[in-house]
Amino acid sequence: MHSLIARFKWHPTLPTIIAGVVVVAGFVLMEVSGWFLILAGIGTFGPGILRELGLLNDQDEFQRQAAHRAGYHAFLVTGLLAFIFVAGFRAQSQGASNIPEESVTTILALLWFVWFISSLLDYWGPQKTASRILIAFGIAWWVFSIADSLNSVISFVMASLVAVPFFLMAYLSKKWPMLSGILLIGFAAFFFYFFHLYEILGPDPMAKGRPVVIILFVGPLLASGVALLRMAKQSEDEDELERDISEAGVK
Amino acid sequence: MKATFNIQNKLKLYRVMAGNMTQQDLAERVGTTRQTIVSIEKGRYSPSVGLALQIAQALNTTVDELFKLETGDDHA
Repeated sequence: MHSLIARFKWHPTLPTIIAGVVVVAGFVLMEVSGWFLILAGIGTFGPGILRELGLLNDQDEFQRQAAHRAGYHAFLVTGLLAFIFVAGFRAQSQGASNIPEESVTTILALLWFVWFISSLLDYWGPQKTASRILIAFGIAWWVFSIADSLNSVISFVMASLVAVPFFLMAYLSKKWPMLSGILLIGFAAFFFYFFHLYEILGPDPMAKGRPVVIILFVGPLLASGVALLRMAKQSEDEDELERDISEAGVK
Repeated sequence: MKATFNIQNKLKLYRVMAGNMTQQDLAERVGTTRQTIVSIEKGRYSPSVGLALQIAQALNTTVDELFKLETGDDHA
């Protein structure tokens, strides 16, 4: 498994792999008992706690800096959302102690998402992050297609084709960041419309776990797209600056 | 008026001068990841003094030779 991951030039440490397995196990076993969700929490936050306590030393200084910055970003975004939720519940006279499970799940999903995306963008940069998120989306989509269409070869092939745009865009993001950024934002908007996620703006925004679906499904595409556009803009500015410097040198 | 600074580096040049040392080789010598070396070379990450000294040592040069501070005034 390690060599397969290494083919993608990703070298997770053993604690990261173990933590990932524990998180997945937690979500799978949640069907057996809700208590197993604690495993997902341990897998998500355990390695970081051990690192901060100095009991785990598997990251270099750049990885630690990216994780710390991402933690601060997650704190800012999640803290703001938590305040909005509490204010909303107090205003509706339901009391802050009566916050429904969906709100807590949304806050947890946002906390994890912002930390994850921010640390990846900081560590890998926009192009590599976008490329790998798209590959992960493509693989996930492909696996779901296999599971959903094992009874017919034709439906399997047709369903698999839906994964192709993800792989194609993973390739494009390295070549044309500006175009890929626009396409990714377009993709995010398409999913927002196609899966009726716009109903979050309706009378029952929390229904069907919409906020979590938006955060975990639309969020990565949107964040990668915006990061690619920002990167493309910065590259243009740098090219312009270099041109100005070289022209000044010629004069 | 806000003083801004930018750190330029010659890591890639010194890697080539050190017998075409790869980013992975350098990363292994200083006990870091290849991605960290990539980010330093691209100017996306400024290493700590300790790591800068280790890199300079691995490339048989000095921190002064590898990293250069460029200052400027940003009239905001």
